[in-house]
Amino acid sequence: MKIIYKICILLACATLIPSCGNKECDHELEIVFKAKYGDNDLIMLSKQDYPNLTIRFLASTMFISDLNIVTDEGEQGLSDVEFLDFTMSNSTDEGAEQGIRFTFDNIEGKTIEEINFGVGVNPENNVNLPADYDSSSPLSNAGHHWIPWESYVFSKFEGKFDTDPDGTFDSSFLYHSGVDINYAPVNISVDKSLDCDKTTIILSLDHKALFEKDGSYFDVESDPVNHQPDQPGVILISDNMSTSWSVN
Amino acid sequence: MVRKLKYNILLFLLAACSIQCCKDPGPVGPIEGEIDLTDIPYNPTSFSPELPYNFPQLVIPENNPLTLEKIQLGRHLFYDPVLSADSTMSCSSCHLPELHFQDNLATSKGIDGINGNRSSMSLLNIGFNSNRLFWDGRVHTLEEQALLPVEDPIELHNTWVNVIDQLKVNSLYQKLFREAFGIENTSEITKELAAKAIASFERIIITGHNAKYNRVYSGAGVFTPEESKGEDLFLDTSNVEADSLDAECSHCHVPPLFTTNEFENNGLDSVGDHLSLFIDKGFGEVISDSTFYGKFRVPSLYNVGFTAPFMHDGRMTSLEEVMDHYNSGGKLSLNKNANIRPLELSQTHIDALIAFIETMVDTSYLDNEMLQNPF
Repeated sequence: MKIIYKICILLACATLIPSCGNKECDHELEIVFKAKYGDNDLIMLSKQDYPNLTIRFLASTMFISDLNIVTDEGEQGLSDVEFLDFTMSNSTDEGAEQGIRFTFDNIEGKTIEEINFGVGVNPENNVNLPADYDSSSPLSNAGHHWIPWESYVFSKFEGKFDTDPDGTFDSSFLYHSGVDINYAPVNISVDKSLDCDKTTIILSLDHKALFEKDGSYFDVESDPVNHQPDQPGVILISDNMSTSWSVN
Repeated sequence: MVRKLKYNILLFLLAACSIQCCKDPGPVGPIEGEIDLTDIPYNPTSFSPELPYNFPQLVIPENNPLTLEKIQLGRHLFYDPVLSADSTMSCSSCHLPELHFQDNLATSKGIDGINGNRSSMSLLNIGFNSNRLFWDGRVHTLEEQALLPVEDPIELHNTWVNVIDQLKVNSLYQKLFREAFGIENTSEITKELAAKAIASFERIIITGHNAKYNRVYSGAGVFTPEESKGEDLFLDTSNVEADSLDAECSHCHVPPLFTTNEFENNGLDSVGDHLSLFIDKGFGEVISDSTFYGKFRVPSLYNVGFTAPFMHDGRMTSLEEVMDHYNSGGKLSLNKNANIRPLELSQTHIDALIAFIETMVDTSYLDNEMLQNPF
């Protein structure tokens, strides 16, 4: 009897111990989105050098869609759509350093090789209306949908500039993108091992690089207001989006 | 043997104790002075109001689904002066339905006759706001909002303890709270439930079904040439004769709600780079961030022509004055919205814009019995 009892205990241990030992850790991935201007954090209202101008950003917002990663075990979707509001997050040095953070659980694999997303709302969702989404979705916000375009407003970059320079920032710039031609896929190569505890990846958008054109910069002073999808400033920003993100 | 017996007794006592602890305490009888309400039926009826064309879904918290019974309770509380310390004012004193759920005053007065420093905001379509509430965004939900005016010394200047004490002994409210929330006795009447009911009522204050703008966009009407010109200027749709002018209104007053519910500085005060000079710091003060000083929530434009005076402090008395302000580009301040800059609109343009804004008028909600004063 005692022998049977001991055998049962041994069998139970034999079953339980290996399963504990083999249990892979649940990888948690934190992705931090940051707004930069050149090498520095972009702080709203702070002065930034621009060719022949001094500028101050007032607003930077954008949708991102189809956020996914490619690991050694294949592609994994992380989020269908998110709204990045750097206007709020980057009003202070501390906020800019903190960035906008998203955490994802149960990441499979050992190494992250790519991060992919699109700036804007993907064409599948962009045919819909805010009324089609529950109020918990960023796409339910009617303030970010533009009926005349039949599209969401993908991104907004707004600010002031001083041309004189008399120190008075009395001129405005604003560049708003939308409609499918402005949708900007971003593919970033990453080589990051997934730790058993949290792994953090920082993605930075260089706002200065968005305005770069053939080695020089977009003429903000002469074309400061672009809020039609086919205007040159909007096209330039959309085209530059894929190369203006970097990973840290 | 004695040791084993002691051990068994101890085990027995422990088990008895555990069973006692795990036992369902069963129904608790009414506390002395409280009234049992279980004879009143509790059959909540879910409610989904019909929404105007293209409107987004209502923002309804998971813990406060909309029911007819909550709306009915909320309607009574909204119009009942029992909420004020001297029983002279209710929510509806500053949010009058016949005045588009505001009061047409530059700044509102509470029960002590003290003026606040801001205008009463219209509650029309407030249930679609997924951002913050009040001019300065001090709360996130209607449930939070409904709690504040009762205890504000320049509004109803009461205490919720006092209000709840009065509601508990009122047979009408005993019935309404039971029907709305299924409470079993009056001790369960709380300010949180009262706020949920008021929020439910406020969510159905909806307008726009019959607005010409929505009729035209749903294919059931056409704009006049002047309205169409105004639409082009307002929305920059370029659907009329080529005109490079854009009034830039719709960056903040985005259809179909004609607001973003976000916080903006629309150039009312000249503070230059010195944002701390704003007398009313608005949203920036709430979030303790000087970058946002002088910013206030963008109001909707439904029925706006009837809601003078305008702006958060009622400083402008007519729509024409508002138009002149925006046409001038507003006053200089560092965080003024980038869209507010000199527009060079003529009087013809301004008239067209006003004609278009008047297509956002819908007073049919006044016929909605669910919104009317029950007393």
